Parts: sequence; structure tokens; C-alpha cells
Amino acid sequence: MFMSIELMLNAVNMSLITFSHYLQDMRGQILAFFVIAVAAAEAAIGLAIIIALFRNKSTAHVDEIHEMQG
Amino acid sequence: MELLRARPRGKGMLPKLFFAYFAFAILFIAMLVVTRKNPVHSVLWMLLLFFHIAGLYLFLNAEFLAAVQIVVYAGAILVLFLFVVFLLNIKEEIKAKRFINAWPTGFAFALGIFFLFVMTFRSYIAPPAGPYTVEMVQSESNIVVLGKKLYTEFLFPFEIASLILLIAIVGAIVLAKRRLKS
Repeated sequence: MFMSIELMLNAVNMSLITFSHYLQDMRGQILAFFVIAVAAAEAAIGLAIIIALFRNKSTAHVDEIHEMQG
Repeated sequence: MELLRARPRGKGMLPKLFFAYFAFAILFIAMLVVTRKNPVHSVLWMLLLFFHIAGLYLFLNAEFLAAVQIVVYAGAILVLFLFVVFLLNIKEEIKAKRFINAWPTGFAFALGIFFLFVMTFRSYIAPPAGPYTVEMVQSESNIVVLGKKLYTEFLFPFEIASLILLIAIVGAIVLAKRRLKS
């Protein structure tokens, strides 16, 4: 699941840099730079959450973690 | 829609061939990443994907971002993924029934979004071109131009990004450390 998030963020980056190249503006590349930084931070925290979760339950499937389900 | 495809500079067939290879390889490898049963295989295909994306960035006159992509994504985030996959010792996924049942819905949504993209591109009006032409960016390097904009106009988001990374470091350690029995 986290790899899909990274794929989507890379797709957004690609789109931003392409537009920056075509509209001859630099702001697309700057925004892509920030997106890379935020994606790195989010990957770190997300994987830390998974590690913390995995200590209690022994599965990594998101579907089987439904303790807070109403 | 021709306007928006990353057209490689240079005449002749060879740049087009390279671009076509990168584009199709990215699509194919992305499909491979999400369909492998073994999570280590997924992560390794993702590494290849990041290298191809960096190659496309080189076509788009963004050398610094290509380098940052390889160093940060392929060098840091991917290693993080690999460590977590090995640490949690995730076994191979059995093709459970719920995956097969959910597949047509996801595909229908993806087709819908693609249709939306196509309709958006067809009614696209290009704004006037900005000042950073390819020649101007290539005269001083991409890093210089990016740095000039980043440290003057975008200083505040830059500082906030550094704060976000600090929070990520502290948060990740706090979340994943073991409780000391004290």
C-alpha cells in the first residue's frame, strides 16, 4: 500500500516537472522538490506506524486491522 | 495533447526512441510493482522505476531533480522500505479472494480518472510562457536557477520543509522504539 502512495507521488512529481518545462517556469520544479521532501517524511512516519502496529498484531494487511471499526 | 507530452529536444529518431523506451518502461514497471506477490520483488522493481523516472527528468531539463530523485527516493526511501520488509518478515501474499473481487472496481475508477484527464487536456489553454527558457536555464545550471528561486522567493516553505523533516525524524523514532522496562 505504501508503495502505491510513493508511485502516486512520483506521478505527481512527473506531471509538475513536465508542466514546468513546458510553461518555462521554475515553480513546478520547486514544488516537486517540496513534494519529494514531504514524501520522504511521510514514508518514514508511515513505516514507523506499521512497525509499531506489527508488534501487537502479527499481520501487515490493512484489511485485518479493524479494532477501531464501528 | 501533443503540447503536453515531454518532447525530447534534438532532431532525429534517437531522442524519441529513448523517450519512448523510458515512458513505456515506467508504465510497465509500475504495473509490475503493484502486482508482485513477493514484497521484496515489489521493492526492487520500484528501484528500477525510480531510475527510469530520473531518466525522464533528465529529458525535461531538470538535472538537479533527477539527482535528488535518485539520492532521496532510490537511496533513502527505498532502503527504508527494504528494511521494513525484511524486519517484519512479510510472507508471500496468497492470492486471496478479496483481491480478485476488488480488482474490477479499482480498474473502473482508474479508467474514469483517465477519461477525466483526457477531457481536461482537450480543453487546455496555455498561459503565456514564463521567463525560464531552456537556454536561460542551461546557461547557468539548473541548480543555480533553482537555488536562486528557492532561497529568496520560497524561503518560508523551505524552512517549513526542514521542520517537517525534523518532525518525521523525531516521530519515527518515538513510534518505533521499544518501551524500556523501567
